[in-house]
Amino acid sequence: MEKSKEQELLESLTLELRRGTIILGVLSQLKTPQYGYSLVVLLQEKGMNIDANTLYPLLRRLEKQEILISTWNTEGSKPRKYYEMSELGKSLFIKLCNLWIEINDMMEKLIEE
Amino acid sequence: MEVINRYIYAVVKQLPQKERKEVEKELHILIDEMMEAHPDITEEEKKAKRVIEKLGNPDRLAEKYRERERYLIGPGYFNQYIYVLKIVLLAVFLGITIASFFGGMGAIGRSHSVSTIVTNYIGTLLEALLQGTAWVTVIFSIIEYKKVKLSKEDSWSIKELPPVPNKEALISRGESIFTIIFSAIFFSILYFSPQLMGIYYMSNSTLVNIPIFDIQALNRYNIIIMLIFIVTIVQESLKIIWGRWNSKRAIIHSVISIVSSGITIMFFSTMSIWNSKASEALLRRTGFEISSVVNGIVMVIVLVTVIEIATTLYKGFKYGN
Repeated sequence: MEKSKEQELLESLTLELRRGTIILGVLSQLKTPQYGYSLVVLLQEKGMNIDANTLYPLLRRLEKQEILISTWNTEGSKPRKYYEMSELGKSLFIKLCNLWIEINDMMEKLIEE
Repeated sequence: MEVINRYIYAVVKQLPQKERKEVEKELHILIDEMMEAHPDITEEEKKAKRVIEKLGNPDRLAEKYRERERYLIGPGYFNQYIYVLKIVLLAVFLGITIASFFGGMGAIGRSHSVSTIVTNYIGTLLEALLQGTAWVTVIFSIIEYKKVKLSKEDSWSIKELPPVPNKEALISRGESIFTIIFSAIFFSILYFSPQLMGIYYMSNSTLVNIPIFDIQALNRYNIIIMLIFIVTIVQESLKIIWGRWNSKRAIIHSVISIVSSGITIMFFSTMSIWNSKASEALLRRTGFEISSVVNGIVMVIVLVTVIEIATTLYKGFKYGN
């Protein structure tokens, strides 16, 4: 099935739009520790459809940037890596949330005209 | 499980050594977590395949895990790379052309083969150009890898904006390169194997050649020949470097042209360089005296030089500034 030009454009523009929201969305669920796949499910339940193959490398990168910290949970049969926001992460998160509200207001004004 | 191991290996082998162990461990755990989330499929093998399919192409996944973009020479350095490459290629071209004139071609010249001279020159030139390209590319790849800081971040000033080029003022690079190659070949023959230039005719089914130059006399003027060659090369190189004419450049070029044409005319007018046997043959077969032929050559040189100077000055003054 061939995609129409409009469909193709819509897909790529939607991707760009969504990309801007991923990090904020991920951080919002990491106020408390979460592990890998549980985060995927959690975000999906709340409407953000992020793939595991995007989320895992992202978590790793955020940890390297010291926005997240990880702890290993060795209870239970399998060891699990839990991620949560560091202090730096939490501070950034609050600022990003405020920024998001600002951007949202601005966009609404622009669209309504 | 075999298929899981294979997948993880396919991803991890593309990552730098330091990252591999950790990412491998992480992926094992993550795949296990995803398997647990599929209680609906009972067959382990099938479950694993489903999970791996969800993770997708191992190349794409490795891409996301990679910290840095995989550029040989990235967008940040590419412009400078091209700039340096152009300079190096030009320098190599000039260097080989001049070196071939003085060195290697001399040896070949004595074996009387024009085609050998030319093919040798082209072969050496090609090899040197490739070498130059390879080295510049390697150096810039290293610069890219080490992310060396090259120039001040993005600084520019309005004063430095070059004027918009007028198409009429442009100097033809191809013409200059052609002139350089042609001069190199011509002057090599003249310098090393002048006997090749002559009147060829068949006599008793053998090819006979009467050289138009008196070789011994000509050799005394070798320095002049070299001088004219060097001046030609310098002139053409200047034109290539300049790229476009302006009044100042046009004047410089015209002065050099006058000088080099003057030397050339004096050279050709020196009667002793011409082979008397050739002049006799010429007189016999065509009725033309050698002196009139020389006068003709001189007039052509003068005419061509005058036209060239006039055109250049016109372009430089009208379109250059």
